[in-house]
Amino acid sequence: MKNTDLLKAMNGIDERFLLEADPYQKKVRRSFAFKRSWKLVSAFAVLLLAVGIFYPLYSRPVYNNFTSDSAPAIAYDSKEEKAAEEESMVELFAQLPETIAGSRLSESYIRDEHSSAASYCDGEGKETFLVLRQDIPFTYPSVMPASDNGREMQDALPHTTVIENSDGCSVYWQEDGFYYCLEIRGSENCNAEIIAEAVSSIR
Amino acid sequence: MEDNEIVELYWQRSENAIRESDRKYGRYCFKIAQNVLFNRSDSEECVNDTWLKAWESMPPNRPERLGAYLGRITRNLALNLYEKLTADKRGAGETPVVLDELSEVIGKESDVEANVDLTLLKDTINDFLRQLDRETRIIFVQRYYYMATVKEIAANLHLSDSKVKMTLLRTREKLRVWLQEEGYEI
Repeated sequence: MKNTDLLKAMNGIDERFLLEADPYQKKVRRSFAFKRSWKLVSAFAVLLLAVGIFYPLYSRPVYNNFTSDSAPAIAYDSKEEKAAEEESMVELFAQLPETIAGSRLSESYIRDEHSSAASYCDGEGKETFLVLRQDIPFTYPSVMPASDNGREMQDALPHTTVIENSDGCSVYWQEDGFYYCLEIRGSENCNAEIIAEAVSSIR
Repeated sequence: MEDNEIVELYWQRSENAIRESDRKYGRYCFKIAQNVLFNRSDSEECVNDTWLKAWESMPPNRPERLGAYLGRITRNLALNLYEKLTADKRGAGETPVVLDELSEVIGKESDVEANVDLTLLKDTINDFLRQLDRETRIIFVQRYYYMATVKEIAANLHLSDSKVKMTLLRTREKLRVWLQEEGYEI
């Protein structure tokens, strides 16, 4: 066989294959352009969907486990706007008891238009409880308490989430459209009785 | 004018048949010839010969798709002219490159010229093309029937040059295996 035989034999290619491949027909070029652009459009749509789903979940400001020292500074367009936002956060202080488990209310402050806080200190001035109130959700890991003590605290506090950490624990709950976090400093304060009393006095 | 109307002109032996064929498919046939011969005057000669062949073949033929029918005639004429012009030397254009590529398929040409039954070979090639996926088949046909360059194929199908080259390489290898399995001495 010669290579020219093979080339000549191509003349017998089925007509539908010739039409399918005709490079001078715009519809052949257009169908591949559409196919390529469709892949790009699909990839872009998936990307947009992923951003649309995950961005709202992770774009919310998170206020977890920090003291008054690390409260962020917020810029307002006007003093009136700032005042109006802060007024909605003032209510926390009206709710709080003067003492929790022997610790006294030390200071209360507006952190920003979403959040306010109040801290309790023991007789030696060491912060033992921190109450946080937000109009946006807290983010915390959804794990069951690992220790018996943790589980006991959780059982004593229905409708809350108890998270143990190295220096104590945090209790989260939601009420009247607000999100609350009671941070307990010091493992000696992490017992079901103290926390149940603290939470009930706040609620 | 629709294809069937032009074919009817051939059947009626109307000279308008050639004028209408030239108007609708003149550039198309010229492009096919040009891809083989890479020479303007030779390509024009092929196109003119195409009308003559078409006149002689209709009747009795009544092709459904006139473009493909005329394209085949032009391609055959162009290949024959190419063989005649370049009996012992390489010419310009894509044809020598395509022939080199097809030489990979058939391997070393035998010293003894074996008569190849082109009709059977055509059927074998069609069977081969039928089992390819659409994109690969289009690349193959554009290269070895329409004699398009790799760049042209890549532009037509919105692919990279390297993708087209790799596809052709793999398909030629598959064709070689296919022909061997069909009993051709390669």
